Amino acid sequence: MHRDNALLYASGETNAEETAPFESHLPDCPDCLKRISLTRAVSRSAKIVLETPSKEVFAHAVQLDGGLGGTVLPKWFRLLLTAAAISTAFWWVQKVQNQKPDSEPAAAVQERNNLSMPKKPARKVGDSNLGRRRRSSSNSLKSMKSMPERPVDCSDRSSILTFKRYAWSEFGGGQPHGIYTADRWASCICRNATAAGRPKPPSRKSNGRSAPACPPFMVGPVAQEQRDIFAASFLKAAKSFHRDLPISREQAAKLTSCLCGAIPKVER
Amino acid sequence: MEDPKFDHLLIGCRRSTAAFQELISEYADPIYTFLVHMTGRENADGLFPEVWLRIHDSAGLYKPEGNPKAFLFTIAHQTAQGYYTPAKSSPTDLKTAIACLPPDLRLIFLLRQVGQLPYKKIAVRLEMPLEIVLKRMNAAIDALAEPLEKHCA
Repeated sequence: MHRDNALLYASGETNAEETAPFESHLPDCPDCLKRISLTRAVSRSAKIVLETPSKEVFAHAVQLDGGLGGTVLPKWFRLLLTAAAISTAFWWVQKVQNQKPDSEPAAAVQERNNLSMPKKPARKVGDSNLGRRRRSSSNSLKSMKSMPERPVDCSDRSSILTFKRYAWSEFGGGQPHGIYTADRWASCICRNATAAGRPKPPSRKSNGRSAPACPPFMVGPVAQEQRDIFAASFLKAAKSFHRDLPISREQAAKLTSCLCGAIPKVER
Repeated sequence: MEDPKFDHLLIGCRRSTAAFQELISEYADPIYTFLVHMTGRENADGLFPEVWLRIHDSAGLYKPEGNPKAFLFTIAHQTAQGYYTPAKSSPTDLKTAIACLPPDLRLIFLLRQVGQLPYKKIAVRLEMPLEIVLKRMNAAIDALAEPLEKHCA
């Protein structure tokens, strides 16, 4: 107990009520005196452990703001934009409703009924990949490289390296610093990702795709409403990861949790 | 370090690039030191920009209290949590002695000594009792006493 008080006293975190009795017992307590002097010596020497980021790392962090697409618009302007969008939508709906004819001429109805639309081929029962195939074909237009087989097999080094290389190429744009992102993502999915090493840099260089946005950061228990906002945004990010990376749903959830933090608890 | 100016920098960093850059310049060293000692230099280089990205994104949630360090270090801790390096063995100097501390002790030690956060605030931010924080800090100081004496000698 004295050791705890000595720590608080040495760092000036005791109030007057605690300080007076502690100071009165100090002359008879060599342990506390030693602890205080040791604590102060540690505080003095803490300066020598200070590290400074390299210019490259520092510049990368500083440029984030500009790289994100600029600054956030002022609140009044955002409100104005929202109001304008709502009023435009309202006006458009009213316009469409007003343009709808009350009664269709009989000749037009006859002509419409005579027209025959080509029938769509029926979807095969059990073809569960149909939706995914359609999505991936639209994605493949954006990305030149086909997605590796999913999910990442953590017991297979080549699978981890393939994932890293894909993430580096697609999201890091093949730029040198993109490997950090790929490394982190792989470490989030597989514990042994660091030991797997790094792949060869991709030949193609571009700006890279932007990673799905994380929900706003939340500390400790939060209100139910905020928790719901976080959960919805979390799910959106996880879905994006699952769509854009060769990982399973579970791995996408794991990656999102690792990057964005777990869904916070609700305060009581 | 308690100054409303730093509050303004943190609150204004989403609207002003200059404020964001000034905020980074002000707190780059302590945040980077924390990351280096908790995750190793290689991870710290990659995590450093990511921490600032998250600070930028969540600056709107900050409640002004004259000292944004607790907020910044909580984000650094949350971001780097999965990358904490295990305790190394055989310390040779003070720096390596810090690396030899178990992550739990190292975290408290760095938040106090590098982040300059009061113990009570550390306890609140890490959601643990003050007694546990003080106990871990005492254990960290005990572990560092010998290398510290060598350093001072």
